[in-house]
Amino acid sequence: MSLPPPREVAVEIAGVNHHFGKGEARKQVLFDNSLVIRRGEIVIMTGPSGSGKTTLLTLIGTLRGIQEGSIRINGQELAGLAPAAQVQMRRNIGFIFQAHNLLNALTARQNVRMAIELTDAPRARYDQIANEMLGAVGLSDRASYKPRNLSGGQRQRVAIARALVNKPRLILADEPTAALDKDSGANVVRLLRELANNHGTTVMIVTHDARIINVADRIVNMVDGHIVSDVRIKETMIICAILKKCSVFKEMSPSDLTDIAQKMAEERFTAGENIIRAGDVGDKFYVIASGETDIIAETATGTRAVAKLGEGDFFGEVALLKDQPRNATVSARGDVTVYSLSKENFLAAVRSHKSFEDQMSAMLFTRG
Amino acid sequence: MRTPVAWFNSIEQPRRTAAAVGGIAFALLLIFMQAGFLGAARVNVSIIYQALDFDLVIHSRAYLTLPRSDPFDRLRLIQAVSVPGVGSVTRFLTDSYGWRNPATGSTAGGFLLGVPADSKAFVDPEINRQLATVRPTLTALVDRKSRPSYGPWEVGGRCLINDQPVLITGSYDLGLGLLADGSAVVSDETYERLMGPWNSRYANLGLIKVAPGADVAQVAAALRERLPADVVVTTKADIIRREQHYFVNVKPVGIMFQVGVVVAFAAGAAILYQILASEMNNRLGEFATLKALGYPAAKIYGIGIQQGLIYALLAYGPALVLATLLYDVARRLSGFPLYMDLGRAGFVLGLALIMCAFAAVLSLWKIRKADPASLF
Repeated sequence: MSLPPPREVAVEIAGVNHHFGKGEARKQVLFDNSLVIRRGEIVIMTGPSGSGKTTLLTLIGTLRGIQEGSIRINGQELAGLAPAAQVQMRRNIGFIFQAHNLLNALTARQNVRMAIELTDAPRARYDQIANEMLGAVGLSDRASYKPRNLSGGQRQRVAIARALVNKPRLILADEPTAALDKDSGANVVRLLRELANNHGTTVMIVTHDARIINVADRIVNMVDGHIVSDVRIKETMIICAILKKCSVFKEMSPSDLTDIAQKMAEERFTAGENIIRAGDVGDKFYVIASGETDIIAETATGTRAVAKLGEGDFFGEVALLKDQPRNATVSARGDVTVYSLSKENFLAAVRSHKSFEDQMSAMLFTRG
Repeated sequence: MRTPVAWFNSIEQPRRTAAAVGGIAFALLLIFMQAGFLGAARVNVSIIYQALDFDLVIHSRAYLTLPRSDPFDRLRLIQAVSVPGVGSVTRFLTDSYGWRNPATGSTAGGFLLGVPADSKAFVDPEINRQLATVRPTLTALVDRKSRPSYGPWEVGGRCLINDQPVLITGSYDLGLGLLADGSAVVSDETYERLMGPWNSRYANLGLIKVAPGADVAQVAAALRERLPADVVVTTKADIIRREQHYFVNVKPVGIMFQVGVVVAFAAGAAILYQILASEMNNRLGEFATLKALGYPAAKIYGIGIQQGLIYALLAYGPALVLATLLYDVARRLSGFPLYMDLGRAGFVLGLALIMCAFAAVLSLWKIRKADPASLF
């Protein structure tokens, strides 16, 4: 397993607060939330009712005005955006609502056309495009049906077709599979995955449907208006796999490893860049997710590369445990992606996990 | 072609649409009827002037309206003859009379129109031809469009006008509608016999035909200069306009018809508003969805306005057909000159569109409440 190449930022949320109500009834529902989502990522947002995930979704979708903080969609700041620009922005977003919100007087095809008609597509192709999209959600034979003649699941699939038909750069979905059976839900998930992989569409899904968790690249959990966890599924699996390979971590439970992995931040380096420098105060522990590094140390014959570390290796723990300066420099040989754990979190993990501390001591002993 | 959302919304529930269109059609029908009555009244009050052949008319300075036209000294007519450009001057007498049918004893009112028997006072050559038959005193032509209250009568028979027996020597079609139950044309001598000998000194109107090639305005100016201030010279178009203005804007019945148009318009607008407001309310979620999809507010308001327009136009057709039928029935029953014409059809269509715009503007504020954030 290796990391995908870095993609540009699609959604950047920084310091977002939000309140509802006025005067004494004013209530804060979002608290200083920050989140970065990259193009092509599928993010599942979970959390109890009232945790603020839907409010955050409506802010990202430019359906509400931003009160405090900043949200950038594909580089465009949403705070202070003029109403006309907000409307324009929404055209690049596909919304999937829990209630299908179809136009009841229109057929399935016409409902999908309503989204197509906002694009530059040739008018003569409106029906063809709509039919193709309805076919993709398994509703070719229902294109001429009005919502009242469709089942709940079929209506939801029409709504999904409407949201996906323009291949938007961002899809915001609220319980998109709640009304669908297993096969239909899987089909929708497949479509979302295809859009994410083939078109770089970023997908944010609010859901409690455990059946679709495995489609996510990340799972963001919100509680009481705070983002309390942001699990990068793929990265976490990579980090856990690396940690698990090391003897010091192998006794830890997946849950403990995941906790540590979540606290690790991604850092990328280019060829020749120093990740740590000999003599510096040790402040982080590193695992290498991709790329190769040189370990450069003072030897009798001068400063030279004494070893090479690659994907799945880790370094930097000695200085943290001994509270000493770095004894070597680690330099990137090419593009390198590492995940770092701060000294504070590293030591906290050590302290909270006695066996872990024992293992580390053993490891230090073995490393000499 | 873009999806005509307003049209599909309008026809989605045929029963509700039919009820809505029926309500609006009824309001438009009311407008048609009131406007029709008003228009017919305009035609009706000028019908005598329309029937008379003249370019200019001399009337008393105290003249208010034809049924209340104070007489003036007939000497003014003699003075007018000598004015350059004047071709002919015809003395015209008119007042209301009492009609009695000797066969049935039925009584009614009417207008007696007195002109010299040798004149060509009327536009209709048939009436002018028949004027020769009223040369003998106590003879008359009777309006075939007189009300049924005149009872059965026939040419060659007799009737009583102001309790004096009169021989009916001919007939014509006029129909005074609102002005009177009927009318009769007599010679000026018969007029004086029936209405009183003092009339011999007077005229109610002087009907002037200008000489061939003469300019009507110049002749009118010359007449005004020559004639004393107790009379006024007016063109045919002006006297008709004045007559219509008096009836429509001064007389209560005219004002009633106008108020009727306004009330019917307001009722129609209220019905349309109720329908549109209810429709907007029912579709708030859909409008919010369109906002979320990226449709601008103007486009969404446009759907509401188009829907109002569709209702108004769907209602207009049946209202036009029904009004035409009702005009026909009312015309036959009352003799009132109710006809559907392009002007009135266009006028009501215009009012229907204004009504639609009015109701749409009032109801569209609901669309503002369509909050796309509420969809999540």
